[in-house]
Amino acid sequence: MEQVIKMSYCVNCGVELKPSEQMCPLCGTEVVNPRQPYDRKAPKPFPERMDLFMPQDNRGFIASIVTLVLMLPSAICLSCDAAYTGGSGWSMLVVGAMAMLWVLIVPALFFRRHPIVFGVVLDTGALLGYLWIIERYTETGSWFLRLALPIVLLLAVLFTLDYLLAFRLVRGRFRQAAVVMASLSVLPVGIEMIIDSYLSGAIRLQWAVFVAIPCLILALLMLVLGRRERFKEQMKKRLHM
Amino acid sequence: MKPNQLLSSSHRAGGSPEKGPEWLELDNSAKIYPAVRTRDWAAMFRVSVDLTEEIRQDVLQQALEDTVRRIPTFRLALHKGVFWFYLDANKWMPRVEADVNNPCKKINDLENGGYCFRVRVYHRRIALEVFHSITDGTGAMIFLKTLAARYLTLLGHPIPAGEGVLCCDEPPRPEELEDSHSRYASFRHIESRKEKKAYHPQMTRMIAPRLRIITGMLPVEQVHEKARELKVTVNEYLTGALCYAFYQVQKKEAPRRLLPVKISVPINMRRFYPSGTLRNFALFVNPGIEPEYGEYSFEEIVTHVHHFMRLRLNEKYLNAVLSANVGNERNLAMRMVPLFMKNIFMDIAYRLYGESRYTSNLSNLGAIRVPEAMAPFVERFDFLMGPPRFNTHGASALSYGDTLYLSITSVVEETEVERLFFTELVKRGIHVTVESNNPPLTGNDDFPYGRRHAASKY
Repeated sequence: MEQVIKMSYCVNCGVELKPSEQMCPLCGTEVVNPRQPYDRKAPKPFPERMDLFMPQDNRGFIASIVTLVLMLPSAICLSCDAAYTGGSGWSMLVVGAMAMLWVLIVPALFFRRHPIVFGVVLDTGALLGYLWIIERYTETGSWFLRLALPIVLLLAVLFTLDYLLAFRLVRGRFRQAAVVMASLSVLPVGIEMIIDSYLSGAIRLQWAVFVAIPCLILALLMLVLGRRERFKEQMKKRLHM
Repeated sequence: MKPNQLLSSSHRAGGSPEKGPEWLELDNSAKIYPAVRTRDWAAMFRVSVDLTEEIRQDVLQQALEDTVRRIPTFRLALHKGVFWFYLDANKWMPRVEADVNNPCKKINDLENGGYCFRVRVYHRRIALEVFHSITDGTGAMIFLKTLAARYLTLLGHPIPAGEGVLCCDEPPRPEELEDSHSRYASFRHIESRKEKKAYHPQMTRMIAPRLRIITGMLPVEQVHEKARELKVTVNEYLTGALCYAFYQVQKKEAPRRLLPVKISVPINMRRFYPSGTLRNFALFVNPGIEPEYGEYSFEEIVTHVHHFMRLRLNEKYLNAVLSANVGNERNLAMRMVPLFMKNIFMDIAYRLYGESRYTSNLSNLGAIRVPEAMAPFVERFDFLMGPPRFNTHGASALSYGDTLYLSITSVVEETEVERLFFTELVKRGIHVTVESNNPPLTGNDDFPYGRRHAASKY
C-alpha cells in the first residue's frame, strides 16, 4: 500500500502547515491537498474560547454619587427650615430643584437607547413639578396653570417635533436648518398668545411678529439655497472642518 | 554598601524560611511594570510545556500548591504603598484555569485572588502566564519546569531536581529572593539612555482582547548551520532576520524618511553574574539598522546585529546600564515622590525610552533542558510574548530537543511581518512548520466589552 505523506505546504509561502491549519496563517491561502483534505478534528494549538474584558459599568456608581451629592443640600435646608424658620416651606424650593436635577441626570444614565419622547416627557414633568413648587411655596399669585404650564408644554412639543423632523425625517443640512427656523418662528407667536390670554384675555399679536417674520424668511432662504448644488458645494469647500 | 547589606534590604522580611517572605520590595526592573499598566494592558508573557498525555487538573492543582510553597516569590500579590508598589503575602492558593485563545490578557486586581500569574490547562499543555513584576523569562521557566516535574512526581514518575527543576520538599534559598540589580550595580559609570526613535509599522490594530499568535517550528540543526555560515549565533541570526522583515515592510510603506529598525533583545544577566535569583534579572540591548544610510542586504543586517551584540554584551557595558537603572531608584528626590506621581513620571519615561525606541522585541530563552527522567514525558516547550502596549509585534523563541519554537505575537490584522520573516527563512533553506491560534474573525458586536488596542502614540 502506498505510504501517504501527511503534510501540507502553503503553495504561496513554502512553509509546512500543521494539520490544524485550514489556511496558511501567513498569507491566508487555503490548503488544497487532495491527498490530505483538511481535518476539522485535528488538534488545535489553542482553544476557541476568548478571555474577554470584564464589563466595566460604573453607571450605578455615578448614579449613587449624584444622588448623595443632591441629597446633601436638600437635607441641610430641610433641617434648617424645621429648626430655625418653623417649617415655612422655603426649603422646598431647594428640595424641588435637587429633585429636578436628579430626574434630568439619573434616568439619562440608564435609558440611553429609549426614544427621545420618553426623555422629553420625564424632563417636562420634572420642570413642571418644580414650577408648581415655586408657585405653591412663594406668594407670587396663581400663574402656574395659565402661564407656566402652556409655555412649557409648547416648548416640549416644539422640541419633540423639531427633533423628529430634523433628525429623523428630513435629510440635508439646509432643510434641517429650515425646519428649526420655522419652529423658531412659531415659538414667539405661541408665547405671546399665552401671555396675552393670561394678562388680558384678548389675543393681540405685537412683538412676536418681529421675531417670527425674520425666522420664516430665513427658513425659506434655507430651503431655496438647499436646492442649489453649486452653492452647497461652495459652502462645503469654505466651511469644512 | 556591601552586597550582603543590599541583599537584606531588598527583602526586609519577617517571614520564616519555610513560609517565605511576608512582603518584598519590587526589584529594580520590576518597578516600571505596575506603573505603566493601563486599564486593559499589562506587561505579560507566557511559557508553556506540552506533556505526552492529557493533563489531570486535580493533580496539577496539587502540584501548583506545592510549587507555590517552594517558590514563594510567586505567592505574592501586588499592592500599592505610599511611595512604591510592594509584593505582599497572599492568603489564598491560586487556581488552575482553562486555556483561552488570547493568552496574556491583563490580570485584573480582583481576578485570580490577587496573584500576578495564572496557570492554564489545554489538553496536554500546562501554561504559565506571568506579569513581569514578579519574574523574568528565566524565573518563569524554572517555575514551570518545577511545576511540571512536581505534577509528574505526583502521578508516580519521580523527577529528581536539577536542570532548572527545584525540589518541592526543600525550603526556598535566600538568594532566590534577592534583588540582583542592586547587588551587582557598581556605579563606575552611568550609561545614557538616549536613543533614536525606531520605526513602527502602520497597520490596522485589532479589537483588544484578540491576539494573533503564529508559531514557527524550525529544526535547530539547520538554523545553527545557517548561522554558522555567517559566523554568528542563532540569536543574532534570528534577530537579524526579524529586523530584515521589518525593514522590508518599511520600504514598502515608503515613508518620506526611513526610521531605524531596531529589535530589543533581553539579556539574561545571570550569564554575567553568579546570581541565583528567581526574580527579574535581565537588561535590554537594541540592535538594529539605520536605513537612511542606504540599502541593506540580509547578510549585512545579520552581520551588523552580530557586531553590535559583540560590542554590547560584556559585563562592563551592561553594568553601566544596570547602574543607570538602579541609580534612578536610589535617587532621593525620586524616592520621596508619592506613588501616584511616580506612576506619571514612569509612564512618561516608558513612552520616551520604552517601546518607542524599538520596532519589536525578540526574547530568546535558549535551549531548554530537563532532567533525564523527565524528558520522555515532555513533548515541547513554548514561549510567548503578551501583546505590546504601543508596538505591533513581539517575538519570542526557545529550543527544546531538535526544534526551535519561534512565536510572533501581534495585535494587528496584517500578517505581512510574519510572512516576510518565515518565507525568508524558507528561501534560505530552513524548513519551517507553522501553526496559529487563528483569532476568531468577528466584528465588534461579538465583543461587547472589546476595545481597540491602544493606538501607537508616543
